[in-house]
Amino acid sequence: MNTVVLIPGRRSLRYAGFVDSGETCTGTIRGFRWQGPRAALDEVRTIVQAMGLLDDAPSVVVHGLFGGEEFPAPVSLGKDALLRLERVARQSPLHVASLIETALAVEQVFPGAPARLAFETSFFVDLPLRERTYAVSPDLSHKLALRRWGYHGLFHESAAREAARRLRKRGLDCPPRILSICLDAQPEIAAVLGCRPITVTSGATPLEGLPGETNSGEIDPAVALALAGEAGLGPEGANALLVGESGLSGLVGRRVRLDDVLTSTRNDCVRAREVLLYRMLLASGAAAAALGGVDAVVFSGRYVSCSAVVAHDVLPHLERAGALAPQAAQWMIFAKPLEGVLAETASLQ
Amino acid sequence: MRIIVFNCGSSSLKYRLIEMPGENQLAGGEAERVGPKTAEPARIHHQVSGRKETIVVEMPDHATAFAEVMKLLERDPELVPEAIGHRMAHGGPNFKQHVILDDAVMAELERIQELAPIHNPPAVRLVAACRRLYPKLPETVVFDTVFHATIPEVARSYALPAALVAKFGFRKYGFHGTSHQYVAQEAAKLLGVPFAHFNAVSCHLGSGGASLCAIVNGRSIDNTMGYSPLQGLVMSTRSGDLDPAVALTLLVRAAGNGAAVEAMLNRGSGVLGLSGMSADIRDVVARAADGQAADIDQLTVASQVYLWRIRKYLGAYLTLVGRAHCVIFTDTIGEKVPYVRWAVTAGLQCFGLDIDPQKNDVAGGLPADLSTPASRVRILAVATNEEMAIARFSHDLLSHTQAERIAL
Amino acid sequence: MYDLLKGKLEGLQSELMSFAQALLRTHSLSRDESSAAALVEKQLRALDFDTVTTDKLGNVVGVLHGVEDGPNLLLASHMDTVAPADESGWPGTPWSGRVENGKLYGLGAADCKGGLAAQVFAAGLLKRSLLPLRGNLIVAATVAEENGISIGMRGLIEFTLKEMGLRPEYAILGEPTDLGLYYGHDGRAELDIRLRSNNPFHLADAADLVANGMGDTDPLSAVQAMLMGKPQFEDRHGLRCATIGVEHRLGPEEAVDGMVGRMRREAERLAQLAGAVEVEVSVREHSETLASGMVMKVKRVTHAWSTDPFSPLLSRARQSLAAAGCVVRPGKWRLSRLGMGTSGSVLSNEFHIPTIGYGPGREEEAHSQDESVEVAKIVECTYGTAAMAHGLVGIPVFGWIPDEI
Repeated sequence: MNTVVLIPGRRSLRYAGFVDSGETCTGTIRGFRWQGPRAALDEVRTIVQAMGLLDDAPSVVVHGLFGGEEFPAPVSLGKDALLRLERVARQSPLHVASLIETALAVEQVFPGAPARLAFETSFFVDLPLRERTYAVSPDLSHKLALRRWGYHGLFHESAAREAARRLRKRGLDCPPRILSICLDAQPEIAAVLGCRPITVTSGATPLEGLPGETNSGEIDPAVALALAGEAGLGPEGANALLVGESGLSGLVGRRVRLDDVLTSTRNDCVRAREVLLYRMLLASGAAAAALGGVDAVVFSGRYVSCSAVVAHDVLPHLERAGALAPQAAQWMIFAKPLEGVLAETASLQ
Repeated sequence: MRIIVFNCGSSSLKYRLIEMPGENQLAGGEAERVGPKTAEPARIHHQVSGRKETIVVEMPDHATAFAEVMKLLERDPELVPEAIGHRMAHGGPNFKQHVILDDAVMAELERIQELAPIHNPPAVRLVAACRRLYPKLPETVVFDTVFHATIPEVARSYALPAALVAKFGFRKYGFHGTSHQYVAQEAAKLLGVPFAHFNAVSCHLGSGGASLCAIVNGRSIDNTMGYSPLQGLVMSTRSGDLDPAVALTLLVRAAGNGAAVEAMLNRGSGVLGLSGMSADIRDVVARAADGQAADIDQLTVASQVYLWRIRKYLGAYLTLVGRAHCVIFTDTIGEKVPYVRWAVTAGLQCFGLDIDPQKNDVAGGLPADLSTPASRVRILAVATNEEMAIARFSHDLLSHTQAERIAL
Repeated sequence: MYDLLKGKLEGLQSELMSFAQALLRTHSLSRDESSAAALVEKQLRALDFDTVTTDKLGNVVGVLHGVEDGPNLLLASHMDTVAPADESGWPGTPWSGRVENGKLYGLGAADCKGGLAAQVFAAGLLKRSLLPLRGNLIVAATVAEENGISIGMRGLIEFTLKEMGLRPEYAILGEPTDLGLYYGHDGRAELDIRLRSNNPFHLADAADLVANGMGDTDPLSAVQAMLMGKPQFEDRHGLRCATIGVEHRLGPEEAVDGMVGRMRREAERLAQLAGAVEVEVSVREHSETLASGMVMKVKRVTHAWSTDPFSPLLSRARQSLAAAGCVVRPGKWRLSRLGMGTSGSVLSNEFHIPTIGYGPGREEEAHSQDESVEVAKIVECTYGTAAMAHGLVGIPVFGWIPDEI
């Protein structure tokens, strides 16, 4: 089936077209602001039409970062989905708002096309209570809908499924214990048992967890409060700093990408790389303890090409501690880009 | 040398008189209700070789409490202290060793008080009072953070902009260092490993605070607590790790009242917040085990969240340490609650941990080895003794007058 | 989030300016605000407010509903203007709403239709950005501020919002502050000094003495009053009476009663020089008939008010403005041109609602000839107000990485 994949950001729209013939196109429309995603979608339509993608009724898949507990699986786009999106808007206002706008525009630009929403958080809806619960009162957790999420569920799920398939081929007959490492702008490590996530590094928001390209990752909560208070930034200012000026870029002192940091030979990247790899080492150890050992390590994400750097640093430690099953030292790569993963979602419907 | 060790709480003063290097405890006790008058009178529970007495005496401040304790000891010439050892929670960025008190040390202690606004100030006032009242008595200061001074830069750095870190000093300090070091040394002795080659993960699970420490070659290389004691494990009333965005959200919801949010995260969260019934994990576990409890779901989650966090950090630190000689459990929960030790180590054979449920359950006299003979990594329960550790450090410092001291 | 607000504001900008212009083209002298009210109501509906209503007094209220039980924020501006002092001083008419050199001209441009437009669109901006709120965001365009000593505001809080089940925790006024964060001003009272005597000559002398004495601006004098017009005389039941109107400044801690007492003693001292004259001093009162037909009795007092500069309202407002990249400039109104002051005294003193002002106009422009407000400041005010409103009652969006992750 012909498929159009849409990944809305706030100021950009990534798209991909997959035609039955095997032809594909991918790209990003940038620079729209208040006009909303409608104009960008019109552009996408023109591009995929030129490929002949619209000759056969295509299906459309829209990427959602956050769907909360309302969306434990991909859904068809429609009135019901929009209502449910509005219900989860308060948990992630910025992303859900742009998703609603995109969803409405999709109905106008691709009328009649079967459209689906696929969420990064769906994979983590049933994260065990012991992992997703913060150590605050249940009343507060309930009031703020406070719980841990993962934000690269599509990668983790597909990569873990692929890893499990290969392990079965090699004769493993119990649910495999998979360490899934997603190398993206905001990297994330999950422990997956069979096809269920057991731990994940991110938190109530993508700020927590491993340091990313601009986000600090985990810090002492007292530091966040001190930034807002003693440092005089206020909560909004502290947030802007932690979300936009910290992480790898903060450590290096200029805007960097994850792959720059992992592979650069420049001196100013060394410390950021060490900090990132150190945190990945700890997260991997924690995941290994959660799983009771690791049968396979699988890498995915936009910067999956940098897997070797991480593997060479982290895996020997796991091995020395004894947590790595012998065959797991042969780490796997799940190289499919996000667009491809999403397109698969369409074929599953 | 008779060393009196002081551990100063906000309204209490614990003391032990220890003969060094023999490590004989000669006397000890605790002054209670130090400070402004309360409903009950202030008093000192004093103990000398098994004989207990309680003295009721007004103690408006720690200086008076100190003077009263000295009076009690001076009744017997054999109990007159020859040196004073102080426990200090926070040593700031510059104290990388325990120190003998002098003017420069005093000035630095006063300068860094605000880093630990609850714990340091009363202790600093006590140090000053001791100096004033007994200027001839040598004093030492032993810091909870010093053992963690060896945590490498990569582990103590937060991923924050350098300029900000330089200005405000945000970094991991780590706490409970004196206890971690003491139990690690005891464990190394027990296993016959030279401390300089000793690797372990130490679990200080207190009835208040709790932290894990990764130790390689007898040095701390990481601790779960951070810039403040709030980070890391789920504790009796502290939340431990929390998405910083949540902390900021709470701040907005408290209309910017940072003190209220800090109080909630430090004193109203953790086991107490989760369970809604008790800050003591023992109560929660016991009640959750009684299947009839109405709040059983909430209690089960509370104990699972508490245990799960320990287990994850245990895996993280075992991976970091590589070939650990042992995992050490200490302090109230670590020493006395077999269920916790079992729940966080069971099923971790992959890390070389094989706990013996029977040994674990009956472990009475500490130290005890709780692992099966097949366990590659030993699992030990070791009683912590911070006062003894402080006496050791103090004795070392005072008997090596030319001991190396990092200049401030 | 601030990027999002800026982007959406770009889309709303032309609508915002047409609304501001339309407001200026609509006559709305105090107690004759109904056309302006209709205009505001229409705009609130167009922006898809959850509740829109015009109350008995003629105040227009729009509400964006929060998803939790508070706190509630009131954004309030009055829509009435004073009568133009001299229409010939205006190029064209005072209701032209012309735009020239980046400024929007018209009666009430600075005081405070520019602020009203900004507040209406600040809420509209949050709505358009799909940013959910904890508490309710209430936008009110009030009547009878200029002539009525904030009758509209008093009725709004006491009746209208109460009936709607809304009690604001904070309020922001759109009065002219030149985008400063103003947290109060001094107060004023209008007093009537009434003299009575059975001797018309004594009375005439006494009235002269008192009027001249009040006109005396000796800074050391016990009373600091300004004469309002000439003494008015009448004869009643064989007595000659004079009424002298004065205006008096009220400091932040000053009670009206004390001031009335001091004024009476001073007037007695002056009047006695002329002979036996009875002296009475009271706060001026009159009845106002509102555009809606409602009649209200009004005391001519504006109390001084001040919101603690370190209160949660001000600190959160400062923090949000700073994070949004706006200038943060705390200050107070000087009331050189504002006449009787702002309804902040009603909100702050009578209803104990912490209040600040944040508006695009400059205080000096208020009640001036050819009054104007900078277009860019209306836009900036819309953005800044939205940022503050979100900081005060919005659901925080912390932790979410700027773009796709």
